[in-house]
Amino acid sequence: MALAFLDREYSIAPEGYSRWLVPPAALAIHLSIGQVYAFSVFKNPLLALHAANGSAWNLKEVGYIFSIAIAFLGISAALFGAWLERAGPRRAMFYAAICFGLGFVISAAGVQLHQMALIYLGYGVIGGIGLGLGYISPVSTLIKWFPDRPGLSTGLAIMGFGGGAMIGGPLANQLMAHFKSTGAPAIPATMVTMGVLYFLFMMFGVFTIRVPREGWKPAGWEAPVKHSALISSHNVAVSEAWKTPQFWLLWVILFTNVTAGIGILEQAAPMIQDLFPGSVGPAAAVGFVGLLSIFNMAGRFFWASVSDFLGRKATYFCFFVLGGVLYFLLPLTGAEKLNSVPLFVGIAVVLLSMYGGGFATIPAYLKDLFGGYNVSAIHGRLLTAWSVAGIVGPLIVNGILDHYVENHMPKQDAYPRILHIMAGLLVVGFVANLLVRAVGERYWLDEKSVAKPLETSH
Amino acid sequence: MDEKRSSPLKIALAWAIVLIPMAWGFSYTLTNALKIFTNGSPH
Repeated sequence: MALAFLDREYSIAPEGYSRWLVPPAALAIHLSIGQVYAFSVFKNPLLALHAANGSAWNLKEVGYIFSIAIAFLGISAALFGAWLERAGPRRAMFYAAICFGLGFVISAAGVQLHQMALIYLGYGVIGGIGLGLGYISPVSTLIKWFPDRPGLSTGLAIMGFGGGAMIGGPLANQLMAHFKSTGAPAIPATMVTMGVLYFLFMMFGVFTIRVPREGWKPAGWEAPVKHSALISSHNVAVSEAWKTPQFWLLWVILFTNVTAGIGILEQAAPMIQDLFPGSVGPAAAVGFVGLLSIFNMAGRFFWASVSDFLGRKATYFCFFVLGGVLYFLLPLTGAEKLNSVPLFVGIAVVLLSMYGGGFATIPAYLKDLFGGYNVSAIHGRLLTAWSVAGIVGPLIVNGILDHYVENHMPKQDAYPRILHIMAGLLVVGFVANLLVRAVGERYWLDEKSVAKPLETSH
Repeated sequence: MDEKRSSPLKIALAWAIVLIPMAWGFSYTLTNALKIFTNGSPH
């Protein structure tokens, strides 16, 4: 059968295969698809383009490209999660690589022909499907390889998604500068090059990923006999998981944490300049955004690893209590009060580390509650919270800012209101986390059925 | 046990493949990020 090498049975690890080869495979995927966070580097070049008839795109039209990609990330993660559990990570990663690479190439044609619909289809829809498939594909495999450290392993991979922008941004800028200097059409040539490079990089992940053999466990490790009340020794199927209150509580937890983070991310550069007029300029504001992306990435690894020791519930309590207090205090650091740029930056980076930490810790929380059997599929459905937060967060921030601007009120006065709303959202997240209990016995999967999907390819 | 173990060189190479681009992106971003402390005033 064509592409049979992608089947799960061909990706079962041989005896002696090191589990430390699996995180680089996952990172190759996440570092690639994390490029989506750097898509804004194409914004100004796209706005400067003119069609043959002289027409140009506006900011709103260009902004939709990113929104469509994130929407399709959530949709595809939710739709294909259950398929991924059956097909295995290698096939899912392969399709993710094709979709993500092809998305760039189709978008390049769209730019060359000045057809926005083609860019929406390419980077937005097809690339977005690649994002969703790629995001969830290594999660359950990592959890199976690292039953002793599920937070650390998934944190490592999801850290890559945060770090992808750090590679994708400068790569795109340097490629565009290079092609411009050679006289080639800069954006299409850059997009095609990036599509090919990312496809190849993701293929490294495809060929490196392995699933553990049935019954494999780390040397010398035994599953703990006495569990925390929240760590289930049973599995829950994806079809049942979303009917549980725990799934929806975790949905609220992810939604509130992400929405609050977007409150800073969405307006980071203008916010610091508005709060410190005359002392922070555009170049420093760009530096601030870079610092946020570093802590967004580092927080993913740090907090997810810490959660292996603190427990997931306690880790999210940290996010909601510490985060709530810090969001409340952040506006006080502005020029009109404490006037401290280092304090503002210090608080913002801690908040962004917890934003990233929220993303990276959720797969291990899901594994604790629902078992590892369908965790990728359940994670995929939970990511719809991210899609919704991606719409609601900017709506809150931009809605309040527009209100202040339209009513000729000082823009910097809008920030305390925005940040206090974010603090309020974290209180909602705190309550949701407080209500999380172990999943009821009626949702547990019959243990005889657990092995079946692993054997479907035989 | 005569099982074939993954070579440490192979593991190191796999990590290098992902860590080198990460380090490049990190240093680029950090260099720009430091502008907030060295280039604070508006221009």
